[in-house]
Amino acid sequence: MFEGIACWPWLRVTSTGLKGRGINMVTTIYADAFGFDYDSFDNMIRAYCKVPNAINLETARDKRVKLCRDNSVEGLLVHTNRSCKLWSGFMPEMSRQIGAACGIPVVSFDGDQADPRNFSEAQYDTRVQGLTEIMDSRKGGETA
Amino acid sequence: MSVQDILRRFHTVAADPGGQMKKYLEAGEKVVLTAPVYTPEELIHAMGLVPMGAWGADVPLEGSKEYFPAFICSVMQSILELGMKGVYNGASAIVIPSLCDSLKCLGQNWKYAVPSIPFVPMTYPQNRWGKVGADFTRAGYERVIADLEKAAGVKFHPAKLTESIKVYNAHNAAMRKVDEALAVHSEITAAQRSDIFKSAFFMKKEEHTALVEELLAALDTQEPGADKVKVMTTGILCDSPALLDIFDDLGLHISADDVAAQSRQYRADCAETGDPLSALADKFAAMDNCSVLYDPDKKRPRTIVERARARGAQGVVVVLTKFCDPEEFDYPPIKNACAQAGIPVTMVEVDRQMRNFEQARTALETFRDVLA
Repeated sequence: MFEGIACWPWLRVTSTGLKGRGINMVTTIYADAFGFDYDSFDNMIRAYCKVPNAINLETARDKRVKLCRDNSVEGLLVHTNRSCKLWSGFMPEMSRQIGAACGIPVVSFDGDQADPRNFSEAQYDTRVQGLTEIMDSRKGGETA
Repeated sequence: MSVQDILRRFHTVAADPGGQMKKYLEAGEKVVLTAPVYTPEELIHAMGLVPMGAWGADVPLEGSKEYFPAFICSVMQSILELGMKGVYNGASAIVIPSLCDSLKCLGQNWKYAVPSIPFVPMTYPQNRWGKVGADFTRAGYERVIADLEKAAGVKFHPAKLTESIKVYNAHNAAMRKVDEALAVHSEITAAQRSDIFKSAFFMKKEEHTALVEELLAALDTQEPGADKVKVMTTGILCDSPALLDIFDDLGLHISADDVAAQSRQYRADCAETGDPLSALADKFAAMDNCSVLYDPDKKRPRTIVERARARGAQGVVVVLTKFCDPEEFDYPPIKNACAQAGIPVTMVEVDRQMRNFEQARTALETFRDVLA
């Protein structure tokens, strides 16, 4: 699971870093964030009161745990987004709880949804490599 | 008591909030921590609890780094750090408002980093006006009441809130008066000025009011010091001893402030009649000119200019807390408004981990030379 907003200026690099290691990103909270169904103005307001930046840690965690379980997620890659304090500000603790609840490894990297300067390819690669190794060893396989 | 004796009393309190908390706890009182920027202290006071400000401290960050990324301001980080280190042990609860993104995260992290002290959210509306805003604010207050009744084992009585509102209004008036007096009495140093404001967060308001009134009476008999270069400060905090020493070394006289931990706390009074909870919600609606209070007209820069002029401030010093988005967003309009008014502005960046203030000293020294 990819946690957080995408690193839009670095989509190709972040995608290749996963695909090149045989990792398939099967789910992300970001898609769920705005995929609401509603049939009235009142229901629209109720729906948008539940966007990721308007809910507490527990509700945010439970949404992700459900996604991880529903999609058989084996690892969590967390984007610590410089441009979104509300999302990143409690993400370390939330991620620990998701990892514990789902029994999956968690790694994070520093990035930014918009500013291309806040990203290091080397850091991203190192972190994803680490995640890959842990996921591989849990599967009982060799590191790719 | 002499002016200096009273100022020493303020300093003792400002420099040792832990000692203050211990004193109240040993006397059998219950303490509730209040995080920046604004919390309904009147409510807490009305419930027989002692509100004590928790605005962090100049401490190294260790445990808080497991919870916060580096770009969350050091005020939040140090509040969590102090909580994790047990400095706040004994407090019955902490009330954390929702006034900025980092505060929202502080509340969420607090639940797990400091589970021994219950987190009580004070959720404020962005649109705080009209019936809609007042209802939302009131609902926030009702949540605080319910949570504190549970955490501290006390009950809320509206009549007590009316009495507490009067106590807080009296304190606001005393602080506004002392702020005016400090604009004239240049012999009071920047550090002493900071102690007067900072100590307010660590004393019951009625006790602080009494001490402020003693100071005002003593100042009345004291000749003001010689004129110095007058400046106005603005920012979240301006209490770092090293920074205040620079103001004093350079002979800068803070004749006005727009600092969140100082004058911004005391601008708005609450109605003392009618339903007190509604009156408190109306007070929040009336508050303004702060980076964390939504204002589509962004009046704050203009009021800074007006206040600087009224107090004879020759320049404005923006004391910018690093990673404080609300204050960073306000800086360009403040700078522009002052430039249009012909008031020089300088900005110094601070955070609670700073040890070396030489850059700030150079900037302020140059600023003083320009103003002089």
